[in-house]
Amino acid sequence: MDTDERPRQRLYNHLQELLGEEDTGTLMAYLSSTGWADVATKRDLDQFGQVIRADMGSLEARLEARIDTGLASLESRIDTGLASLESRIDTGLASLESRFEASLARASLDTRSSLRTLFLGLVGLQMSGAALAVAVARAA
Amino acid sequence: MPTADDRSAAIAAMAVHIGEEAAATLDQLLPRRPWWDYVPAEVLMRYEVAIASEPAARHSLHCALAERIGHDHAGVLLAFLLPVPARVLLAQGVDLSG
Repeated sequence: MDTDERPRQRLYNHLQELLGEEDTGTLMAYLSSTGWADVATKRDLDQFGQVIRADMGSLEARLEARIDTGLASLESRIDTGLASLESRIDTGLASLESRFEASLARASLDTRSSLRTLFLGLVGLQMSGAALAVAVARAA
Repeated sequence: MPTADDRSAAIAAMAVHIGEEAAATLDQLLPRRPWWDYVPAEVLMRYEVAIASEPAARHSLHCALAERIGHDHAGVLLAFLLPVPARVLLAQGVDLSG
């Protein structure tokens, strides 16, 4: 016989002496087979539900707070990153513009120098042509 | 509505007849609250549960108890007993925790 069954059997025997077999059988049938200490009642379930709902509410609040904090941090990092990127682009463009202007200035100087040489060459050529024409005229 | 004190008094009255040890076992096996705290009304209306009720046997038990411990204590004990045998509720798959 199971250890837990012995007290139940002794109770049955005492009740049988007091009430008779039939009424004792009825009474024992209405009793729990294991005891009621571990059986949850509707009230227990209601209380459990309230605890669960409170825990869920607390968890929801904590999750919302963490999500808000995380989003704010992410937004801040994105803003910082964008500002840094914008600054680097500005610096790069300024450097590029500066280099472009320097190159343009050098090219302008070279062009002017070439034009001057060409002009002097043309003048020299004309003067040579003129001198040649005078010489031909005198010879004739 | 019977209270926990009423329940204790009824079990004490039973202890006079069945002894302290058996009364302690009865205390352990008897529901802590009236049966309507354990069994929802919709469960009682189920056909399988309704036909399992034994009003004559329950009435006989009530009378037998009343003869030994008095009507008041007997009424209290009956209030704490399930409306149908626990084995029937369990066999029907009724959740006693509901």
